[in-house]
Amino acid sequence: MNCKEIRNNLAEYASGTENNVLASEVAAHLKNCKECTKEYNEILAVLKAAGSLKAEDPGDAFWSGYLPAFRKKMERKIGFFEFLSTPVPVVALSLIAVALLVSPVLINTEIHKKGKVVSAEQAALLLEIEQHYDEYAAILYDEETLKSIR
Amino acid sequence: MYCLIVRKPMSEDIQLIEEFLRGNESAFNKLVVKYSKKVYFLALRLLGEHYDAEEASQEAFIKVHKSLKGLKEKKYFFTWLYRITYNVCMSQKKNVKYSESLETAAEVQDQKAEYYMEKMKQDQLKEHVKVLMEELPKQQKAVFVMRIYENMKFEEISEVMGLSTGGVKSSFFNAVQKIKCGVKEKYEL
Repeated sequence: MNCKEIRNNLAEYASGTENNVLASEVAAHLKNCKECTKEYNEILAVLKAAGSLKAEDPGDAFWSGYLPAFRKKMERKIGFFEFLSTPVPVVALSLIAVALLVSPVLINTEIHKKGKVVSAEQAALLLEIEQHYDEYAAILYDEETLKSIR
Repeated sequence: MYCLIVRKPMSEDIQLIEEFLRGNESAFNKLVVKYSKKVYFLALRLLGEHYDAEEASQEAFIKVHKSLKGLKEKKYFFTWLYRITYNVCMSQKKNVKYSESLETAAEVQDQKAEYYMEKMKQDQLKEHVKVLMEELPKQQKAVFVMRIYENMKFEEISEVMGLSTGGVKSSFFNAVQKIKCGVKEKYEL
């Protein structure tokens, strides 16, 4: 490997590579290359400084309470999800879903007839009257009713 | 004629997982106790704050509890646990910063002035490295933390983070170069 390839692998080598072939090649190169050795020493100093930064242990009291705290948190979360799976919320959610699906069908459609807006009921009535006007008009409806519909 | 069937001994983790899946919650408690420190300290180094690390680590164990049934290769439990921890930490939107949770660990062994000068330089160097680590991009920092503090192999890190091994090595290289260049601006290495 040339110097560029060696330098690309120095970080891995300095942090302890598992690749024995790489380790041998780098070690052999460093014996004879001052520049790469200088680069390696700089990387090593950085990793050593970083590695010496210790994370503060929260202490025995924290660890002895860790499992009970976890269990408490678990129970709260499971409790919520279990609640959602009980009959009342399931039925309530199902009803809401059905209502949302069916509601467009239940809404009365408005029918335009001769430039006037009439309800579906009135439209059906008008159709019947038109079809059997002569027969029904005199029997069922007075003139005033017919006028208000038309 | 009798045939002796020799079973390969199961690791402790696999045994505990099997027991948990049979309904034994105390087996899961044992897993929590076994890995709580590792998970907590990984979260602490990624998030920088004790409270955030505690929340993230417990959240990770809750996710593990829910999804352990779906883990196909139980021998990879540790890597999978770390992956969940990493994902939980990355999903937190706060800036990843090291805080006073991290301290230098130095011991006084000599009374000579040169030693104190050198020690002060080393402490200052460590503080500067700490600051530079804070400024690393999330991915590079995660790789750096897992490699240096968790002593994980690049293949293990790639499993945890869902990256290629080459990508992990590249992230580690870039992280080290960034810290090194930052340090060289102020100190002689």
